[in-house]
Amino acid sequence: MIFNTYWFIGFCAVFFPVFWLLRLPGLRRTWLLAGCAYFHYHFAGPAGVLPIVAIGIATYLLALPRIRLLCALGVVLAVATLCFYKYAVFLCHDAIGLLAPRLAADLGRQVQDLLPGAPPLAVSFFVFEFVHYQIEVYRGHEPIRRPDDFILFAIHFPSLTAGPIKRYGDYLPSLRQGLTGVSPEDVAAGATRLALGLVKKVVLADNLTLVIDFHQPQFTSLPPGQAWLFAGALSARILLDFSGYSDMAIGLSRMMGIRLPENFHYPYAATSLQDFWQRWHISLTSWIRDYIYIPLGGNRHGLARQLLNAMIVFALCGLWHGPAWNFVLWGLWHGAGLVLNHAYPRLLGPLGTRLAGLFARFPVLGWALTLLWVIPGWLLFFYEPATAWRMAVKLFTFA
Amino acid sequence: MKPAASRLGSWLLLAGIAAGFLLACGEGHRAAAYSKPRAFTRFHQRISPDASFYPPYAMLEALALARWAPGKTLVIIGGNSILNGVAQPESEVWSLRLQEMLGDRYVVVNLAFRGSMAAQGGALVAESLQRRGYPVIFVANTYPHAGCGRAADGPYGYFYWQALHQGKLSDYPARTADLQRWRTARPEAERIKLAETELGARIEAVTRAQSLWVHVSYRHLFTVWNFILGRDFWRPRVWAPDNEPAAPPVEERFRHEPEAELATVRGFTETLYVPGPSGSPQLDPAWPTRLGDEIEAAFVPALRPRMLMLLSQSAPPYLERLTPAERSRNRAAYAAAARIWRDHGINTIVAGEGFAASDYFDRLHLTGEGGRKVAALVAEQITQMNSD
Amino acid sequence: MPAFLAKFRSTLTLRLLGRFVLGLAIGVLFHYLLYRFFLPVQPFIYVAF
Repeated sequence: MIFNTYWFIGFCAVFFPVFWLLRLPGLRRTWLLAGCAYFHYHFAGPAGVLPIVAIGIATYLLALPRIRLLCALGVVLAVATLCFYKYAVFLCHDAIGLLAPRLAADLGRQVQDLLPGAPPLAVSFFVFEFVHYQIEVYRGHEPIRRPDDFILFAIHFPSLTAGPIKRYGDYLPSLRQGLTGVSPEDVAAGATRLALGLVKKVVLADNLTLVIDFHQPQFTSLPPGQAWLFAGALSARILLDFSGYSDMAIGLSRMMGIRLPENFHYPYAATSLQDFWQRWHISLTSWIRDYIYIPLGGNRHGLARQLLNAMIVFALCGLWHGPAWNFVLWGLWHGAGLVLNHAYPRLLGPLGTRLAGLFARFPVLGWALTLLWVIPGWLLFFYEPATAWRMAVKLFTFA
Repeated sequence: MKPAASRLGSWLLLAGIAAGFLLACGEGHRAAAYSKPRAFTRFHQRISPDASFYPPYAMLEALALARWAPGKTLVIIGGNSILNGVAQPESEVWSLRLQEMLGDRYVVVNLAFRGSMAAQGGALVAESLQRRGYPVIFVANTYPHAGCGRAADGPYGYFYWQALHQGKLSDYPARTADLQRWRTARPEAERIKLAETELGARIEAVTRAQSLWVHVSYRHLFTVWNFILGRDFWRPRVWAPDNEPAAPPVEERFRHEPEAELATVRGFTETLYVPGPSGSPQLDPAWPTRLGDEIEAAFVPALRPRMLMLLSQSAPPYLERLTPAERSRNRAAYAAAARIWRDHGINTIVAGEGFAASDYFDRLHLTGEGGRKVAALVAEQITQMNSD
Repeated sequence: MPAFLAKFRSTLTLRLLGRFVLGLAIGVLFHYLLYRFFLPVQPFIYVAF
């Protein structure tokens, strides 16, 4: 829901004309602040807003003095919040439960009593933006001084619920520009982008969802061609749904003269898995690269360490999507793909070198192989591992 | 483009957006006045919400008035799948028989939907048209335990919000207060959904988006995938004829989960009984007030004398399997329900008493022959009501 | 008016006309989307994260 609701239409019908009519940046800022707060409160409710307000205040205050220890504490606090709200039950039942089932059951019950029915809306996105902020301040960048700037960075309504994950260094100058003056070019470009996002989501992805939901129970009895079509539809649906959301967020923001980072760049045109991850959910991938992969050592400590880092990073990337093993396995699937992608020229010796040459000469081969890796991966993303396995076996045995 | 031209281009694009939207709104208002299915008999499955076809409220009114002329009485049929004519092929739909029996002085319009309640859809059209001075009779059906539902509830609740925000309904404080109470008592997720439906109806009153795009879906291109239509989902629904199949031979009927169906039949009336002072079951003394309040809140007083409520009885093969005591309680509950409805000024008959197994397609739905019998009952009542 | 200038002007007019027509299409699309929002709405997949 969120953008495709009548409530949001009503919200926009009031918010945008007033935003455009207010000429004074201070008034615009206040209006935007009120709009963002109202939007957040409407969709998250008091139970969803309070934890974010608490962690937001802590993040803002801890970064202000530019003391590295406090920034580190801020990171720990944000990550602990995420772990508590999103992963506590998973950790009890699915991790500790494997070793000590009784202890896990007791812990699980206690944790369940403490937790609200659902984690605060978009807690993963909030935490990633707060962690980015603390690390940048830790690295010596200037913190945000104005509390209203920080609040707007935290709850900028177009990107509040599903990104793109912003960087405050890019967001704040753009915010100032939007508050100073919105050009008709911005509004026109934003409206066009919004329309594109809505078409992707409402016209295309939602229709695919109807087809997928209907055929999923009968997947095992589908003929091979249709089974592959189903997998293709699943892949198209997630791209259209998520990139549609990003288009809407970018478009809505642009209608205020504020630029958000791009999140997708034709990911299914990628000619390698590495290329795919430079085109898919770009704001998440670059966040993971900057704040996990590079601090882990990146590619600076030899091939083995680089490959291990890739596996760790992608397991975490998978886990970020949800507290379930299928997401972890999806991440590992991609991690393994990247490891193969990196290591095969060396592992296979002269054959590897010849293969690499072949892929360089015929990019279409790399494109096809990438899709053959990515598409079955979506089965793991959407279904329980056992179901995904059965579906994948059916796809590749053409049963 | 140079900066000045780029700015002009942006202004033109924005002007185009405004113009396009306003043009579509204008076309929507036009469609609201004329858009309706061709050669309409009923909302069959492929032009119903089951197949993602959601007729706007305006379409119901357009249908009701399509064949009306001064001097004629409108007979508007509401209620659920039984009165929609599920299990009756298009040529055998009971409302066609009713039209034949009533003759030219009446215009019968079947606005019943599968799963709809008596207070919804057609009831609102009847109220709206009666308020505007049309001679109207409203026919609907229900069961003793089911009452009449609330106009704003369930998948057809949007008819109420659209009629309300298009100014079609009377200001009826009893209904408003009842809906307010009911709404407040709903779980939060449902309240949010209701608020969305109401806001959508407010927006529809201004933009008529549903009117225009349902019209386009019916006449030109359907844009929502649906499993009932499958690969033909994109075809305009004018192409999808009423394909309700004829009933199989009687010996092949009543085989679907017979025990579960029997339990449902029991539930229709047994749930109305509570242990009496002697321990034997008696009709719940709170029921008449409960049902009465529901009726009072659902139908405006002016419409009630012009209403005919059918209490749909279950098929004989199931009634015959009830114990004699259950059968007698069943009959008593139907009779008591009819009394309650009548006490609130609504003409009521039990439909199905004395019918044969061959008149039924399944536990509730009537075949063409059963439909003809109901049509005869209804025609007699309507003639009497109109002469009173 | 020199031919190249006339050509430039006509190209520009066409472009501007194109922008207006695109706007019309977007306006109609927004109207259509109001209808689509009425149908059972699917949540965004990533909002769950």
